[in-house]
Amino acid sequence: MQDERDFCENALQLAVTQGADYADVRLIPHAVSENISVKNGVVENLEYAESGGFGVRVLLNGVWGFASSSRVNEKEMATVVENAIQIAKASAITRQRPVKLSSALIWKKANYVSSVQIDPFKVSLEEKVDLLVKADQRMRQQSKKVKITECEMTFERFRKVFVSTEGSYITQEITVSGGGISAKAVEGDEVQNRSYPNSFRGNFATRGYEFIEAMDLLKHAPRVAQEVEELLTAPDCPEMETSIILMPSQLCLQVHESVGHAVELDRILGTEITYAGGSFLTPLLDQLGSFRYGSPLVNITADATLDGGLGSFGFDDEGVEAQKFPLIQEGVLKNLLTSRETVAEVNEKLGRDYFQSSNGTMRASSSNRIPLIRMTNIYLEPGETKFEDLIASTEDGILFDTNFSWSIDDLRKNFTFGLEVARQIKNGKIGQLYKNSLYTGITPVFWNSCDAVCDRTRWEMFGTPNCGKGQPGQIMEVGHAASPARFRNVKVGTRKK
Amino acid sequence: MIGEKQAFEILRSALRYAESKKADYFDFLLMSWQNSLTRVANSQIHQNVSESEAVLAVDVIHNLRIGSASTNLLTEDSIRKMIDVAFDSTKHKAQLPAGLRLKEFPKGEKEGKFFERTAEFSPLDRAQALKNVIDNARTAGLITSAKFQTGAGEIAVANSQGTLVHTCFTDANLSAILTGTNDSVYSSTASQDAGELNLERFIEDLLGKARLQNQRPRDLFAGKKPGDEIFYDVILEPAAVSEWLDFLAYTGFNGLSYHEEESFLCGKLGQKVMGENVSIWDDGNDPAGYVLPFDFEGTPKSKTFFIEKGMGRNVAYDSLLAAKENAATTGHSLGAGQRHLGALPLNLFMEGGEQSLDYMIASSEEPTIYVTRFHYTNIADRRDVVLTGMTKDGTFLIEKGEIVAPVVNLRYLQGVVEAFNHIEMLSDPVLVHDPEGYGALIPSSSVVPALKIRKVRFIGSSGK
Repeated sequence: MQDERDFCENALQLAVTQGADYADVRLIPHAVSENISVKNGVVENLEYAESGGFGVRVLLNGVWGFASSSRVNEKEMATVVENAIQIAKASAITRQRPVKLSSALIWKKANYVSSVQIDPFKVSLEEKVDLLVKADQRMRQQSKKVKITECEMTFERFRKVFVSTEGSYITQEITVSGGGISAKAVEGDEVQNRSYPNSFRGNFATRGYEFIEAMDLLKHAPRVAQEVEELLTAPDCPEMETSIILMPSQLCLQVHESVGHAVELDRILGTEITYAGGSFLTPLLDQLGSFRYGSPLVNITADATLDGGLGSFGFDDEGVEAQKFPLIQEGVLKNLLTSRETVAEVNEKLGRDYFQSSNGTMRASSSNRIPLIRMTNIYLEPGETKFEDLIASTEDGILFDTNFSWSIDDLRKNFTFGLEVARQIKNGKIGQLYKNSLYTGITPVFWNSCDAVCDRTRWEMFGTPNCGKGQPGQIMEVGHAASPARFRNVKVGTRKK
Repeated sequence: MIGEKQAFEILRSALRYAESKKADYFDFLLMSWQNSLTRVANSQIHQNVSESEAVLAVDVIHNLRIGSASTNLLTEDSIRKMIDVAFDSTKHKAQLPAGLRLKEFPKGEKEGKFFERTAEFSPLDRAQALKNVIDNARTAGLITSAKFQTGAGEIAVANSQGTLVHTCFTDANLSAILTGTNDSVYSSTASQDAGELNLERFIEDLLGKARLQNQRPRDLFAGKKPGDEIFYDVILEPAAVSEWLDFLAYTGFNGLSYHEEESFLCGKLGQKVMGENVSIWDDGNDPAGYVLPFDFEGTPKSKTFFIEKGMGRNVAYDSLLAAKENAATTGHSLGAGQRHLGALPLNLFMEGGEQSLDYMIASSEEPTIYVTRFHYTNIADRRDVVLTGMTKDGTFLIEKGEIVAPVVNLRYLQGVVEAFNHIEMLSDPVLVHDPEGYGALIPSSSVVPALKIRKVRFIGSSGK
């Protein structure tokens, strides 16, 4: 819309008049979200949220200033621009190294709309509620031990306008759909959880309601309830060092925590120390291109163009086009997640132009937040092993599925994951079910112990809708994918102490 | 900031429109805030932001069904649409208990703590304070990472039973991490009155800790076999205690967790669950912490004990959960749109003792680990509140009453309820407030002591 563009252009003009060397405006004219949750057979939450706002980022004498408001009008815009300028001027009193932006292709008029087959906001509330209530009912019918059942759907759509003093004018409309089911069984002091298709609200994608339909929640509901009942009487996971097989949803989180965050260049350069932390790669920067992150079977790609990926978009929040590139090739670290600012800075540190330009990973969670380097869709490329062969070739080990909890140190090195389900593998066969399981390890040691990755037939995508970073905090939606893989000599045990 | 007058105008207008819907009950929560945050990395300001936000949320209850909606587009049209959507949502199957009766909440006597000088704190004020930290650290050969947040906010609640309340508050919090050759140290300070922040003491504290990092950290897991665990007595600074307390509240004091049989207090109210030296309560009116005079549905705050001298005493309720469970609200509602999350205490206090941190260190003859704070704590087991996380920004080994070496960050796996049965010493409580700032600005904090706890379990280190 012309008036949206005019609003942004006017803000830029004002910023330049007040001394900005560079400025960009992100306007979110309209964002909507809908959350429906059914708990123990009744609709517990039906929530609809509408929002909008704009943020102005200015670069003045090599320092940033940013201000935002939820009130989108000319008077407020003038206040916000002035505020951003004053903030930048204040920032200057500690300036040592002026910010330089690496060059980027300017998109004078571009538009991106994520792919949607069935508009989730046009599907009736009755239909959505009915599906969740039925799934919930099937779980409770399956097992008397199930005390809490939860079924949930979330839909989001936002329109975003990006305009910069360099001449960019980009509009995007992204739709997100997600959902899942979970059951909790309680007996005495024992509480067990089981979820489908993933824990923590299910699975998410930049797709329409067709994504929910494809989950087939009704088919999986009885299995979820049956498995959670079985967990109540299963023994605790034994403490030992053994081979482990991670199923895709857990492996996606492993990629997220121990690769995705570690390769964010802002963390590596120390700009997240006060909250999210740093990266063990900081002292290894000069080994970029040669550092052995994992075994030769480990190939990890960043891909913002992945169809339906939760971390897919057309352009990042600096106006850089979405890209696909290898991060780790045959186990060797080749690339990092970068921005226009960090590319210039890291090349200076490396003393060579290792990076030519930003690879387009700067995103802000909303108009009132600045863009930060965020994961796009970070995935483990499939290998060649058939899943059946993977199991058959494992003499002793544990198969882990579905995350229960996660924790990793501030350098992304020492991690511990709790799981919903663990199963013993003995002489090439899946056997005994274990509850309360966890595994723990050290990032490069763990990835170097990978000796098998399953083929594309078992490759699954999972969206992570709750990735936290930044101050003030930002929750970002990012995507992952993986097929099952095996890791040797991993410490496993019980999380119930 | 909207101000009480305009906030009430918005709420009254929304109430009038909502009344025309003839719903059984509705309530509105209006929150607005002006928040600014300056961030330092590598000893210079690298991020410096400000936001001006206002969000209105509504819960409509009709025919024992509930619908929620919210908007930050505070136009008449968007507010009416929000109410329409929430009302329409009540046509679906959202069954509430028949006994549910929400009521009018009178305006409490206490007001929020609002200080003009905090609200007017400028970007330059924050930058100058941070420059002071940076310059002092640089003189000591240290790199500064820091965050300084100042802001003002307001909360207004209106419901169809006549409640119409408003409070405003301010917030100033500063935290920094200084990094040297060996490791990092952390400190934080906060007050609702920015003029009360003691920058000199804050810098002294940071530099004092940094001097302890004068040698390479020891890896206590060096030479250990995979799977080995080690147990140490620990001294936790208040920041670390506060993090554990937040998880206790989230998993144990939330009335929803209790009634879903996930709380460690299940079946144990009135029984001894922790050591006799442990008392934990919530009090939004105590000025030693951040002041929140009423909860997000307007219930005036009062002192609620969850643990008293080791006994389980109560869990937190809002009106909805209280109606479902035949209990009384304790004033811990999260308000319109958030009721499905249960009820949470946001202004926690833990009773302290008479031992200073210095005494705790000096009296530790056996090897003891000093922990400044934790990183990425998460729940390993909800029912027993078993947590895992890493130590961070100042982990030290104490031997024979003295700090003898920094230690490579350790991973713990420990039941907090169990640990609170083994508290040996408690210091004077202090205010802890270093918010993550994901959503609205709210006056939430904890006031907790440093603790010395016997035998905490560690299962690894950053080195291993």
